[in-house]
Amino acid sequence: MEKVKSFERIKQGILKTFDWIYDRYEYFLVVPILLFALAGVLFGTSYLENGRFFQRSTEFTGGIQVTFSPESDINVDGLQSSFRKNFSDKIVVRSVGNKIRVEGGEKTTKDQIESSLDQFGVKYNDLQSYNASPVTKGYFFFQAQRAVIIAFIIISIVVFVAFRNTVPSIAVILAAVLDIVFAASMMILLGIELSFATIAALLILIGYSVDTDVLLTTKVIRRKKGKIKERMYSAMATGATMTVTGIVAFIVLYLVSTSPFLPSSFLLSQIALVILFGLIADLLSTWFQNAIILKMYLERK
Amino acid sequence: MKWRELFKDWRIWLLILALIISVVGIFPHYETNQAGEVFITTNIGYGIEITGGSEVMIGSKKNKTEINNFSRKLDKVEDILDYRINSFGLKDTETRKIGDEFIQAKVAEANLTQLKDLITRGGNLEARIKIPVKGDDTLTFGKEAQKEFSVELKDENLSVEGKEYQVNDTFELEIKQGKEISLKYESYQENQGNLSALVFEGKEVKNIKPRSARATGVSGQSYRLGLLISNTAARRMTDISQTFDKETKIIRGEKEAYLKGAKLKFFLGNKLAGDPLDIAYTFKRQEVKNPTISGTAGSEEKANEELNKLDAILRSASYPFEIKIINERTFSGTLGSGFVTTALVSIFAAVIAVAIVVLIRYQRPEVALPITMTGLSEVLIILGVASLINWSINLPSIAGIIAAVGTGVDDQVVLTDESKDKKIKSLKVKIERAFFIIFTAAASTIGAMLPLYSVGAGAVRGFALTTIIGILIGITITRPAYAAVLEHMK
Repeated sequence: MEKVKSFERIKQGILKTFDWIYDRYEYFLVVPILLFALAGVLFGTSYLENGRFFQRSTEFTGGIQVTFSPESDINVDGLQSSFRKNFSDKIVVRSVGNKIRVEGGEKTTKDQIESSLDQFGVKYNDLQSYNASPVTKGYFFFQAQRAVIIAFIIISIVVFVAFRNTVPSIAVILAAVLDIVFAASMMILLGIELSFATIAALLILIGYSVDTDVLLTTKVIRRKKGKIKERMYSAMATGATMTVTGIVAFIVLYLVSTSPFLPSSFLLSQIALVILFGLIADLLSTWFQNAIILKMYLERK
Repeated sequence: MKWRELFKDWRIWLLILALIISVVGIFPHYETNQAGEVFITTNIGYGIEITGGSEVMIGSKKNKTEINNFSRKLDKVEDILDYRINSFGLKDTETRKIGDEFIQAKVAEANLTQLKDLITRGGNLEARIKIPVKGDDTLTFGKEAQKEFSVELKDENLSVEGKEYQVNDTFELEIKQGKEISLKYESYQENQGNLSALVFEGKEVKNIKPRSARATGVSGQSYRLGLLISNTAARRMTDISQTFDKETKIIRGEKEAYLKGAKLKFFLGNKLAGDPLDIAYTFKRQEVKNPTISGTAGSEEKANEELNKLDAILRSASYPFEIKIINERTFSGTLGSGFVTTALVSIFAAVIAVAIVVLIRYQRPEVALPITMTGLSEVLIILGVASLINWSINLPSIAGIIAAVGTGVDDQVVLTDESKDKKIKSLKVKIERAFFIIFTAAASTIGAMLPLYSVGAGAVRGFALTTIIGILIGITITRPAYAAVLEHMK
């Protein structure tokens, strides 16, 4: 039973660490503040550099995307500079796993990109294209923003109805905000553009975030038996397991969708990355933000 | 584990029933392909992102605020697109309204040029009668007051009433005050010029008789299609017919009178659509408001095909406003089976990885196994529901399945931990409490996905819908079943 013993030892270790942190819990509010600050810096830099917070996908800006699987390895930067010499539009070349994507503006056409690829001697398979007219640019971006706002209104109502208590409800929503803001700032860092798919990923984070926060709030606020600390610890044992299973699942999705052995997918890998960072943020936002707010709230009451 | 009691629980039976229905819905079976290879296939439909195909989005050329009743007209555009795409026999088609702005049309196995051609062709339908002219000729138009126009053809140069025209020129001849015949100089070949006179436009076709009506149908190799056209169009037809002589043809033993040399042609967006047709002599003598278009084809099957084509051309002739292709997408089909593998590998690898985490956390296979089995059941039921409602699985749906099963596992972890809570005695109460958390989280996730489902274009709706379906299956079927397992485990 050596294994069980070592598992117990880990448990004891976690418990001790929890005790130590819990005693000076208020100081750890610095963790979410730092996360928000980091996100703020990333957003600010991006805004100063590009005049907007996010790179927007072709769906929102209009333009062309051509995706293909090259037959041999390709130097992405080299291909990008070759393209930039040939085109007046700004061309961006990205790669994921065994896929390459060339993105251009409204003036670039699919045929031009194809003939340039021939000219550069790039051999490829499975060409796919997407061409969006600028007409949709305002419309879809507006719709996407509206979906995010409506989603937040709905979850606010759900949370307020569930708890009928202002501070804990606001804490739950604030935790979801941190998750989304952090994941979004990581998108800037990784050069992932804002698209319907990544917005979907940001929104599903609401679900994952509220999951653990509702668990925490229910255990700490709605149940009266036992000490707050014990209830919080038991909530954390459950909540951390939940988030870790999510993280593991999306690491797997990321690995599979970028694997060289299977057709790679920009869409799946981006969704996986965004959710992954959101879930990492969720560990911090639940246990170093929401939990601390709840502790302070209960102690003051 | 009290197995006997477990299998008396309705929640377990609900899960088993759902699994059986899903397997029937997915219907895995053997099939033989053209090369004679036997392979396993299912009823799961895959989106064009996986199978290959094209997608276009159509909107108005003008700003929608400048168009009255835009929303209703947009519905009509959708009907027309639907009709066109389906009657031209394209596979796996789908048209959908996006907001109150655009129509999206998807087809599998068609190339983009084909699809765009089908959509943009025939912004307007015109029925024209071909009028051949030679050397010095006369055109006679108008029924009540016949008016003659002298025509002279020298090489390619056409002159009508002294005015010169070249090929592709259009002009009008006044037969009475305020009444004109619109003509086009179509072509010149071997000393013969071909003019065409406009009989009616798409908007002047009031009705097309369906197959159930006597006027429309196929008998043997010939087909006919009954129309109802406007009074003006009927009069114009008679006015134009005056210029033709009578010709009698014997068709299957019966004498039938035709307008000599006249051919009725349909043009969709300036392109010839369908075969030129003969015109009955009747039109010269009287105005016919409900003409029958008829023709013959090589076989009964061909006749049916021709009739369908003609019907589609007339029915989908014109859009209520000028359309514009807003965006277009093509998907390569060669990746198809590869993406299905990506999908299966991601889902099963994710489930296995989660199972390992759960096993490490609880150190007990009897806890990890039911959680994993419940997760797999959820995948199966989601795919079953998708097959039954004919929802095509696309790449985002795969992320949606993982997201839904992920929240599902979260819920099972909550149920497991709550059921071990030592401070409350009643297991029922513990599980009820766990369900409060589960329902609140489910409501939030569905609330976050619904707005996206309603506005999202294309692929991302797959993600939203799959997640919503997955969560609904979770809270109604798999979560109660897992709670039943927990209750009977002690």
